[in-house]
Amino acid sequence: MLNANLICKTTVLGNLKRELVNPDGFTQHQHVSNPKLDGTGPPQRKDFPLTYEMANPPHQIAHRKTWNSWNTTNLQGGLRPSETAVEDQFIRKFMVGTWHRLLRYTEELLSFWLQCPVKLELQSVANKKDVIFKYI
Amino acid sequence: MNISTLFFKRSNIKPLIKHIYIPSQKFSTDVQEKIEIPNRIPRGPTDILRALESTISRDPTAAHYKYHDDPYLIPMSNVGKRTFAMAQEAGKKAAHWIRKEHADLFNHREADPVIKAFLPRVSYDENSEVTEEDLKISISDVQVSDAQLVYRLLKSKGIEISPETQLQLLELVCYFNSEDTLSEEFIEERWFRQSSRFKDRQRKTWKDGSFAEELFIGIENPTAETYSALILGMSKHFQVERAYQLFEEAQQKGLILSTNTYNSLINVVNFLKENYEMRWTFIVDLLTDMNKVGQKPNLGTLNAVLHALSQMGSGKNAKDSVLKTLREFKDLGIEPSLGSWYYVLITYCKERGPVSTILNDIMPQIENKEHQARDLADTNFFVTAMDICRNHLHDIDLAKRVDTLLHFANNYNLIGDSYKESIYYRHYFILLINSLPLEEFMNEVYYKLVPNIYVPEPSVMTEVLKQVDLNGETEYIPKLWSDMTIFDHTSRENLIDTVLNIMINNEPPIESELTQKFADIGWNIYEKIDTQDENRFNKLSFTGDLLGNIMALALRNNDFGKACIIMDKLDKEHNKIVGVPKMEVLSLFVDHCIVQKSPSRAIACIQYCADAGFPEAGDLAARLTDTLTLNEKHIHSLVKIVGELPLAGKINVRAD
Repeated sequence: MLNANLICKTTVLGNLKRELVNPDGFTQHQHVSNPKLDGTGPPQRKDFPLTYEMANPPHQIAHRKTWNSWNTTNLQGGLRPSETAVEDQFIRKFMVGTWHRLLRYTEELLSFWLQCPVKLELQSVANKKDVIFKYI
Repeated sequence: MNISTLFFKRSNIKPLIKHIYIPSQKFSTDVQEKIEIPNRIPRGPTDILRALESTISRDPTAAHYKYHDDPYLIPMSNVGKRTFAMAQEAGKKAAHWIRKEHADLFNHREADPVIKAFLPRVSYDENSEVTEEDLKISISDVQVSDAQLVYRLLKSKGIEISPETQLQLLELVCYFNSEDTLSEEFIEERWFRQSSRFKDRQRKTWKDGSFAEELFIGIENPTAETYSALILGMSKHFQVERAYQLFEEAQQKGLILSTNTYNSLINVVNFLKENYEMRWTFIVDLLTDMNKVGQKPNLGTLNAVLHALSQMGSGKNAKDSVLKTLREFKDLGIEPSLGSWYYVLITYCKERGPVSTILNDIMPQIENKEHQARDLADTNFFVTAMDICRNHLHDIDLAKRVDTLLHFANNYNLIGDSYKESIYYRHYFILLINSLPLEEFMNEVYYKLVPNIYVPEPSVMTEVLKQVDLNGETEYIPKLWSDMTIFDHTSRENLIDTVLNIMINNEPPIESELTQKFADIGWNIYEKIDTQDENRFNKLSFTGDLLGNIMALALRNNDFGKACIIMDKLDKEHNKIVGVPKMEVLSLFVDHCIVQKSPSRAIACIQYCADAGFPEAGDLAARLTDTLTLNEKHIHSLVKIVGELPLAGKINVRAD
């Protein structure tokens, strides 16, 4: 039981190494063959920057980013779950489609559309590189 | 038995005793407690929000909440604050425009119940089908031009309009002079616009022959209310003669006009009558007339009379009449608003009049109270009171009392607009800076209010700098300079000169870190002027004195490289640069050249001194030859510059 738990955790963390815990308490590393890492695949240049949002491959999104979409409409008996999802998507698309400095414009137009007050909070960084999470 | 068990036993005594007493209470029958259920307090829908809001006060360390809470997006200068807020408002307006142009896309009903503010406005044109209901809606939404259009449509279709609606429409168009007004939604524009309103003041703006008059003529059997509406509109927009004509006309017809109509006429008495005597008689006549027809005066009457009196010169009569008026209205049970006190203040405290301490008598009446806006003039009180504290009475304690009142409960709502707010703080700052010790001022006022509540104007900054100079407390200079940079003050020649002079005149002690900071500020100024945009309006230009000061700061910091750059600048552009540096600075430069063993630089400087006509050039040359061993070439050029005379006896080499 304990072993299963630990294995489960490490898989979630997405390590390429699979950790196995033996009953005697020693840890043993078993390498999973990865063509990119063992040198048989194309060389990795590690010069393409990714933000945190971009750095999550599809199979990890469910683990790491579900909280972004949690809201009470998804509870059992919640009102309008599909509408909320569509609105969420609408806001995202609209933000990207509109020139992002037009804050009040976006807020106002979205609130006309969604018929509730909409408030945007932007954050800026001094350096573009501050948002780089990793390179691939 | 150890201590802890003893303690344990002691602490057990109390519950024991309680236990004994409880039964006796339980069984006593003579105590009859009656439960009184308090009356239900009716609450409005926003009462809880208001109660929550009252627990928060303005945090001076944070920017106003209308700005984005992000360091990069928070404006610091006055111009920045205005631009950012207005830009947001412009975005809002753009969204409104889009909604108007594509109204069909916004007609969905998402909210339940429907919130009207989110829906596009109904627009009318020549072919719209309209009813009286539409007219009523336009009137209640303060859509002046829409209401006029709907009215015309209704008329052209021969639809009967009830007299009540007609009167409402007349009141609307009279109040707004048949023009659309800025929507209440655009609070920023209302907050920042002030100049236009001041200009429009006291000038006839009423549109003769406008829709309002047309409507008035169209009404059969005008009533007292109809007359009142038009008279109010005309006097509000300074069409005073015709307002008075209508007033007389109504009186001849035996109509009883409203109190507000009388008030509006008293308000414009200065346009109707010439001198004090005639004006005062006119006011008294109107008031007697009100009494005769049985119209009760209100706060508006009081303020109108005081307003009229405040514009009747500085004679003793006006002041006496003010007191009499206040007395009488007090007897009538009408409590003056802040606007009334504003009029009293401007009557008593004239710029070229005797000093009056009436504000001292007013303060006890209004202190420690929450004031509501009851009159348009109420927003003038605080700025005027502070003006009087500073310019009329020079009374710092009184100023603090006024400031406390302003921050009491929600009184800050009565500050007016951004313009009044900054004037208020300008007076407050200048009064405090000149009365408080500098350290106290900086810690308790400056650091608290700047920059989120108030950004000092250049004139206020000059005063602060002056005090720094007087007290010699130059440790504030780096902070002040960084503030000035943020507030866009650094393109003002007088401020730059002041800062430089303070730094030069108050040389920090050796080893002080200020020397380094001052040199940085100096260099900052140099770069600012050097790298200005060519096409800039009001370009700053180097002067000899300014460059000399910057050079002195660099030299004090032992930064010979930067001093050399400035020396080269002086030398190369001497025909462009007005004036020359002080001799002490040039002498200091030569001293540093000697330390750095750089004779050619020293010679260039001596050349510059000689060209500028300083007689001390010879002394400098002598000092140079005394301390450094020069080669032939250097001595040759030195002799060329200053001649042989000053060097005689020091060296034996002849120039030729």
